[in-house]
Amino acid sequence: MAEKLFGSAIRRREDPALITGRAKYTDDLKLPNMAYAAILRSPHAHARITRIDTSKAKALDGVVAVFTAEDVEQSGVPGQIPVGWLLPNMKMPPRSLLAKDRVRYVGEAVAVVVAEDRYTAHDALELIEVDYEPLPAVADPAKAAQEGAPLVHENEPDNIAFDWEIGDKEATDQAFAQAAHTVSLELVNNRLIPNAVEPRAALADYDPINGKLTLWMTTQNPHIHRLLMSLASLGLPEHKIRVIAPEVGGGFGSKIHHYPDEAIVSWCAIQLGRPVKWQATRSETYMTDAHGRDHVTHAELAVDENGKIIGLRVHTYANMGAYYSTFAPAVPTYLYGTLLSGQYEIPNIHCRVQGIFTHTTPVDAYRGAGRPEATFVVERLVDAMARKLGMDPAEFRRRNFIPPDKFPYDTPVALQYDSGNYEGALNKALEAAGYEQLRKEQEEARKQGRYIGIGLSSYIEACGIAPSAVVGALGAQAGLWESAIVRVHPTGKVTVYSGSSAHGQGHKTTFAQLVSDMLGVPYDDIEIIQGDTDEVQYGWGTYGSRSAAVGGSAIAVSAQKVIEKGRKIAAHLLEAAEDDVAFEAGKYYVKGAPDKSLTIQEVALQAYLAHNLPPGIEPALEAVSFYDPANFTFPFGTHIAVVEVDPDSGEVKLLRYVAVDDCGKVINPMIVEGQIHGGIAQGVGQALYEGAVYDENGNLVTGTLLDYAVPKARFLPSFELDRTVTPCPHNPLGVKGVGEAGTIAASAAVVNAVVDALAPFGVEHIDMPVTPEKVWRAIQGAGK
Amino acid sequence: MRINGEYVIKGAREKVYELLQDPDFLTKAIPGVQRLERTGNDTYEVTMKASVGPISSTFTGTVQISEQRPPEFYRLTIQGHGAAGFVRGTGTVTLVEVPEGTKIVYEGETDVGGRIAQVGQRLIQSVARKMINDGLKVLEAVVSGQ
Repeated sequence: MAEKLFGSAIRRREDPALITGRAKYTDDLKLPNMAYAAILRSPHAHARITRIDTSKAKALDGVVAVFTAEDVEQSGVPGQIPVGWLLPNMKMPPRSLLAKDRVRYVGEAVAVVVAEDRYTAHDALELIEVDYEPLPAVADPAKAAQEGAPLVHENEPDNIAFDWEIGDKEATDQAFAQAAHTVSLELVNNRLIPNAVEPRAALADYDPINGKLTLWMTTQNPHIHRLLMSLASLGLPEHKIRVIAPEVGGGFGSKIHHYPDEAIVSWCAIQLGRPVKWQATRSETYMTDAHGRDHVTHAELAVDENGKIIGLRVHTYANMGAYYSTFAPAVPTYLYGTLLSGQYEIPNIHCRVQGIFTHTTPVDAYRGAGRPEATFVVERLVDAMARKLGMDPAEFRRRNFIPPDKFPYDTPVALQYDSGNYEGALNKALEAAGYEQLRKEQEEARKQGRYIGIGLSSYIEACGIAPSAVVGALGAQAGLWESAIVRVHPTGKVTVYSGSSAHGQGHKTTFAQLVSDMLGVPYDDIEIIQGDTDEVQYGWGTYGSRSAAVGGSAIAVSAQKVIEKGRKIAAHLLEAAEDDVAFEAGKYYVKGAPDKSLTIQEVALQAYLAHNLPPGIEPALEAVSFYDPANFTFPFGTHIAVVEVDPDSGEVKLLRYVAVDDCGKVINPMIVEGQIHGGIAQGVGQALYEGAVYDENGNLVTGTLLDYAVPKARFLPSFELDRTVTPCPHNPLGVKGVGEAGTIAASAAVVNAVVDALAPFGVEHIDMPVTPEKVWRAIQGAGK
Repeated sequence: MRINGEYVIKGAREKVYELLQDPDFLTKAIPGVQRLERTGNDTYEVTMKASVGPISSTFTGTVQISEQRPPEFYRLTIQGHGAAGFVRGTGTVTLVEVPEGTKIVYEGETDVGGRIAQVGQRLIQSVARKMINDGLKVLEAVVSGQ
């Protein structure tokens, strides 16, 4: 192998199938005798169901069956949707596949129709008669937390799902009492809708002869879905369920979770003994895909007389929606409270989070999951304090960064940052942006009545969440290691089985790059298999920017094991001592005698023929590993947004966006940049455009792409990207994660820029999305 | 959602009042009504087809009339549902004699939910206004034609 592929921006092997339309998504799959499901959803945010009459729907020509909660109950399956992360003293209201007596959010599944074709199934939905007795609803988490609010779960005394805290309250209060200066902000972190380009879908096929269910579905983690289907929903033994992720069109977290719908479709296939397919409409995804964010926060920062941060105090209401989605309790707690130290030395932190049930769609992980919310709190406070002190925001950050010689650094909120060079990334970003010059231009522009703003966001990310024992102690009902099998075939071709499960990330390219380099096998000789529970040993899937750091490391460990086994066989065949055999670029050779050599392909063939293996060595050439990382990885960086605000219309124009990220070593720079581009777009989307809105009665009024503004390409400038490289010290590849970095940084950078632009008006904060109306009102309302 | 407005019709107040409670007339006047029957003294059952933006659906429901003070006032309580969602609300109709004839003053407050709320929220008010205006034009034609 001449060139190293690790670090090379090769094109993705996934793309030819995707851009020529040959890729097969769940809805492209067809099976003989397949029927189609459609799901009836509650139009009420909160109502008692007093009667369901399915007779007219059943009578419609082409309808195979109509089922309600009663049918599921009578079938004797567990029929539950469980929660996968437990917190101390959290309420545990049950959630069933179909609503029985009561609906608790608009979109909750009430009945299912199975028909010979999709149109008939949807037509039949209109013939199901459901009598609802509407009840009062509450959608806002701060309101739902108050006494006397309508109860989401009528058997509970209130809507407070859990009351969690981290850090030292007493010490933090004391720090505030001694502070030279404090600032406080009321922050709303707006609710977001994931908008994966492919809506969720499932195709279930049950073989009654051997009792096995095969389920193709839009999943980021097929093994987790198999586990939860087996234990909680269907009661089928785990080995009798095969979950396959075909091509999956994006997820951003929304396809991690175990929803009722895919379980309902599976249950229908089992009942009917024929394949059943369900494809969500875009409207259904808006109502049922777990939403993201939705925090109402009071946050305060304290500094001493030298401008050094001495305390951070946060109280957050986190909207859970009507039920816990799969990992929902972790998102506003261990993925949020633990990140509140940001990039800074903050000796005292206290954070209290109350998870709140409301009559809304469940909320769970969405790209960044807790970390964008934490970054928003920290970076908004840091900017507010810099302004209060009359200090440049870059200088205030610099003064408070954890210096490079203090790593590993223990924060007061449970994490140990393993590495970092925060000032390095900040300086590079300032230089790339031409910060000094920008400040001068800002000054000049103000004289002309133009309002330019410069916003910084120095973020910390904790991804590749691990190790399993630690997350278990925090409440995870899951492990967070990853498996990999590297199998070298007799001809020297390689198949890699990974527990990661891509849905757009390009694993087939990046994993093949690293295996090609390690084994010295041509890139095209390597196949990557993932997303199938019958093929892959086990896997916890793809989310939390874990695939390279955890999944990739597992592959590296397996590849190394293959190399070592090959070395034993090669040494035997070359009649040399194992220690004297070197491996380089796909070749085993005797040190000092490079012409005495065997290629890995020759060794593989001998390993399979097994005619002449060393004693104690089993035939074949493959290795399996289960890699459980020693810690999270901690990517970081500084993003800078430059905006211009039109004070008359309130319109915000994003002029420039500079991002310097440190995600450790980079396997494929093009893929890394693609991730950052997409992440920034979503972060800017949250800051300027996106927001899921419920009305007073719990109706989702931003229920379509017309009402919910996903940013378009023309809203965004060309991003200016750069990197620093601080390798992860604890994994074999030195890689961290990058899937969420852009989203984590961007919303704070943009809002800081807008608030900076409006400083002459005395505007101190504007909630996201920063729409022209809000900007205009802020300008009118602020005391100039 | 609040809906209110007023409309002046050349015609006698008694006649207008009468028509506004006549099922046959209302079936003709309100766009999309397929069936409107008096099922009790003050209760009507209605089936109607309505379109809001891309959503078109058949609704069934009841209209209850109360606080009648002919020929000047009555209150309506409506509830209806269909595959595309539900509507419920109350409203009042006041008829005032004016030199040009009769002024109809209507005021209502409705809750809308389901798919029409999700997809058509921005359009509901203008659709409702158009349906009312279309109905009033028919009313005007009938009243002035006699």
